[in-house]
Amino acid sequence: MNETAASEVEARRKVKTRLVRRAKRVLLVLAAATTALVLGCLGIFAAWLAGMHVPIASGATYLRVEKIAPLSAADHVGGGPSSPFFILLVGNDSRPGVGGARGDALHVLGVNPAKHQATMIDIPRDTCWNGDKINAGNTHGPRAQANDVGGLVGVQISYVVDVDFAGFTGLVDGVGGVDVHVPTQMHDAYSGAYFSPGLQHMNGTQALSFSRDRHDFPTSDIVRTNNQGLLILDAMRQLRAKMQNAPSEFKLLALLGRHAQLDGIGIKDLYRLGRVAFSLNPDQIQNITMPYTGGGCLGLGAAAPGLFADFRDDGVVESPH
Amino acid sequence: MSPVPLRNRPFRTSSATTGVACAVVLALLLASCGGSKAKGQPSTTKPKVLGVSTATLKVGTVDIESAGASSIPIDPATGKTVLATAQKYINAAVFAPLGQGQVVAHDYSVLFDASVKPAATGADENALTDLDVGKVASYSAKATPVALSALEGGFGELVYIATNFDLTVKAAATTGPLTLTHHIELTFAPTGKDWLITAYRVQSVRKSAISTTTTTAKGGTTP
Repeated sequence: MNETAASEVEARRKVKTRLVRRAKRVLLVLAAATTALVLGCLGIFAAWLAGMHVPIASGATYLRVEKIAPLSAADHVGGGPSSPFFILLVGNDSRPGVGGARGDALHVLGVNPAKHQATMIDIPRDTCWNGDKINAGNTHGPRAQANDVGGLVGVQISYVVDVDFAGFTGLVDGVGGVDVHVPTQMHDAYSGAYFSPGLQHMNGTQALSFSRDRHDFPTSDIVRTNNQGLLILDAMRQLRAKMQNAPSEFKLLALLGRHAQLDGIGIKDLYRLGRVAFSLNPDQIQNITMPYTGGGCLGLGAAAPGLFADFRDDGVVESPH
Repeated sequence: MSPVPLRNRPFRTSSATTGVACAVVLALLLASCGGSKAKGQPSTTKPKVLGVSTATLKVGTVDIESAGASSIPIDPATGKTVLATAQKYINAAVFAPLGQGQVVAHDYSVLFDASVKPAATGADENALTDLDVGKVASYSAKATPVALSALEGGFGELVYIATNFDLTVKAAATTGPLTLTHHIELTFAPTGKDWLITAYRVQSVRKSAISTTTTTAKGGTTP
């Protein structure tokens, strides 16, 4: 009887030991999985903090579109009111090793849906604004940049589109490249721009080089700013040629939806804005660089106030400039 | 008396057969006389009512673009609703003007959402409909299968569905034969329980014996 009791105790002890071991193993696996998950999240967060693009599910973020002001025209384009509205296009200088995201490319597009006309005014990044260069505004976010540029020109910006180096490259590659009318010879080691004058098909990297080249020109950023405007109009021209049916429009919208961070704006707004944008003939959009004076921190040129006044009344510059 | 082989039987005609034959010959004679009289003169007779044959739309290809990670097929109920609305459009914009000489205003206008209704019932109405062609004696229509394209949002929700198809109508009008070719693209958006037209691109070529006219209507603020 005693022997039986002893063997039962022994058996129970063995079972208990086995259970404890199994529990330890499970806990160990859980702890390892949790650690891996936490480390993974921290890694992604650290990469995001460092300004890197983190591909999540639907794809990397190429650009950011933010709605700034609820203008009636911008809200109801598509058969409704047809008041002019203004979009700020920002190319920021954020890239691996360079933080801050200053707005190095600043272009205000005034759109008049009723007239199917538009004008683009290029703002040099070195323009003085509130005791600093205007491109510093973007370090506080696209909304701050929009307020600064809107204040300079005297218009209310409705939307801001912000793109950095990697996003710009990805976007251009995403639409199959862009044909750019290169105005002059480019041979610049800094930006990597090596182009002959004339029509050139560029991939994302080449388009970025073209947009960054300023060392080839005596007026540096002024010519660069104008060249960026030319590239935007060339890109609009090509996209417009492709957007001749709904399936093409949906394809582009889906691409933007997957790769754009949308703030205060949805796919339907993009569709409406896109249809307005493609209703414009890029051949009739004026690309005007803001008149400036001085060097270093640039002041407004004598013709700038008149140009801005003409621009702000209906989004289109009609007077000679 | 031995039976006469069938092939050797004499051909006999009954009085009824003879009557029919005479009537046919008479009709042919009258017809030929009438034809010679009409030669080189404008016809003043109204065209005969030959009948009406409308087209029923059917789904062809389906293409889905998604702003999200993956796409979800269009649910059959939504697909049917959109196809039915496209059918209502051609009934109201093409078949009603040809059959009745007018657009039934309510049937037509309810198909468009608020963003494009003013244009569709205003400046674009003549291009979107066959109102200018007017009532015809007869017509026959054929439609290509409808290509469905859809745009889904980031969470797989349907944002837009577009229909693309060609509709060809052959009609007999008082002025002679007509061929109407419509390339129709309608983009639908959900509006309450309905899917209404929120954008359109319609190109129409209307060809008669004496002229060809082409009209294009684009709505949704595309010029």
